[in-house]
Amino acid sequence: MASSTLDEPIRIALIEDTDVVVEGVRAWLAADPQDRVVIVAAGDSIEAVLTGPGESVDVAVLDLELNGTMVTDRVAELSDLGYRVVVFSVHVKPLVVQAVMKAGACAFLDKRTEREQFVDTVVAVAQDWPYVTPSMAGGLLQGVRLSDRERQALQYLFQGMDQGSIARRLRKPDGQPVSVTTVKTYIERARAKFAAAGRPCRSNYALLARCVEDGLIRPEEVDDYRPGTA
Amino acid sequence: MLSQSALSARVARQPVAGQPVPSEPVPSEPVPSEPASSDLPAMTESVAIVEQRYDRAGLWVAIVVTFGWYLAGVAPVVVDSWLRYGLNASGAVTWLLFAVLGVVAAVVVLRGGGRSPVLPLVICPILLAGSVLGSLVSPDGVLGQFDWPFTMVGWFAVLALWRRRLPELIAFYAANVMIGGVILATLGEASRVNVGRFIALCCGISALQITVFCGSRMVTAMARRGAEAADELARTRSVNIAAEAVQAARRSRYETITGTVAHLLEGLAAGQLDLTDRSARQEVAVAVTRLRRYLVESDEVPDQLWHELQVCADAAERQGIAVDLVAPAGLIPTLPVDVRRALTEPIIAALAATATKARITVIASPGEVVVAILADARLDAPPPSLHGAVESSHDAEGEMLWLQARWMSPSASPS
Repeated sequence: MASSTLDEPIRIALIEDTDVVVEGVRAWLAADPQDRVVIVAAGDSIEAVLTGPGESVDVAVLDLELNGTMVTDRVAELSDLGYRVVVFSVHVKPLVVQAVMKAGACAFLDKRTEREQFVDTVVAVAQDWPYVTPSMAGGLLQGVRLSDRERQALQYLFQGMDQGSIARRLRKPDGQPVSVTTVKTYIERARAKFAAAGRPCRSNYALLARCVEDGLIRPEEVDDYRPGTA
Repeated sequence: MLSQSALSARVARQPVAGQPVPSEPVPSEPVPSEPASSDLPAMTESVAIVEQRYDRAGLWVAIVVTFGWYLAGVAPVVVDSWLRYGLNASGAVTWLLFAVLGVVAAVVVLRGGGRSPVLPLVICPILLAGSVLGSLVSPDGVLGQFDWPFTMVGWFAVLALWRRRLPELIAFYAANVMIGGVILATLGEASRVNVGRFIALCCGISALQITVFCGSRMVTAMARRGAEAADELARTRSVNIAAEAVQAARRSRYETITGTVAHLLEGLAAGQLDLTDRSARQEVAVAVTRLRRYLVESDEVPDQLWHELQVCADAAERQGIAVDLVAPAGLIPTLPVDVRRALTEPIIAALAATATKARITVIASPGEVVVAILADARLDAPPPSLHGAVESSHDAEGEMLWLQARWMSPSASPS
């Protein structure tokens, strides 16, 4: 299901009960000059969207509230079925973010403020990159042991800074700012630690495998890492 | 994105002095508007304890006198009678019966019982029957020394009627005297001298008992009134203290608010405040947001700091700013009002300077709270910290301002 290159556009299923949001997402995808993402199925029911063409999508984008009902508890089920789940919701409380991430969601997008990151997030998730949005940073800050630098980088990300600004505030012992790559590493390592401490599900294995492949984390750092399953 | 030289970062950690706004001392917590009512039941209880203590003292006097006289005065007479006239005529059985009744009555009233008519209704008829029997079988008549039941029942009646009304005790004495008088007359002993002695005897066997009964009641009542007066005084004092605290808190709030808006209103009234000037508009926006924060500072909500930040965000949204107030990461510990003010004050200043959008975040742990704002704001001089435990820092990058206020628990070591 993973698409390691972008020779073909990433296929997503959009589970969303508000038509205007579906239309908005279509517009953002159409505005992407590289046409990296296409919607193959959309609707307000998990079952309806994920049958037929939606069954073999690269990423399932899920609104947490469908027709007035919270579907937070369905995230684990979808992750176990092998879907890469991106939660797209207004329920951005860090505890909610943390809960869906622990359940196996690959990313969380705040509907109100992180729309511009929609395409980038979906592309990153489809390739199992350890991508972290500012709303995710609030959830990652808790529940996992982080180094001071990783915590600091996540705090600044949660506060709304971009990686360039974070790099300027995180200084080396000699007073020089760290590089943007270093900041990215701190954040991605934090994401990898969270995945390692999370549920044993396909999305977490795939992300950890990617992190090991990229040298972001060593296999022995992941207690339950099993390469064969990724 | 700015060059390194365009980046300015400063850390301010200054005391309250010099800050134009909350310069007056303020209570660290909202003052209750009513006196603490939890003290009142305790005071009423203290009155009851004083009353009970005096009542028991009087009761013990009656018990000691009754049984002292019964053992020292009556018992030798019973023994004497036994030796002279034999067991049947001695009244020893009556003595024992009275002793048992007396002990029962004493135990019941010492335990706080005897308020219902059960105890006197059981004991008093037996006492009167004993008195009649004693008078009838007494070898030396009603007035003789061997008719001790006639003289003794009055003391036991005091015990049995200890928690009843005085008229009931008097009625008992009247019944005893009347029966004694009838027996005196019936036995033909009612000579003029004997009647005189009988009247004197009747006075002797009731006056002291009534004095003990009434005296104890009076002393107890006086003690209760004294305790009630002390209780009332203490209550008045606590009400005064609470009222003074409320008044001090109101005065403090009034002075704080006056310090915030008075000079602005004066400036507007005198036409000296130019609202086209950016700094003047910011000053007004700060004052308005502060006033809204003051209004909710004493609200009883679970998360005060968050509640106050919501009010600050709402005030900014009314100015047309898109505020993204993100739910707190972590549980915010309970913070005193001066710390909360020190945490919200930089946010208020930044919001007043914000052009279009701002993101406010809170990261909390039991020993640390970090409130930050990222906004397209131009702030010439961020406010200094209002509290020793709150450190504020800021960073400007192009049009974007990042400002953070960080409280650390005095017990937590800085990281």
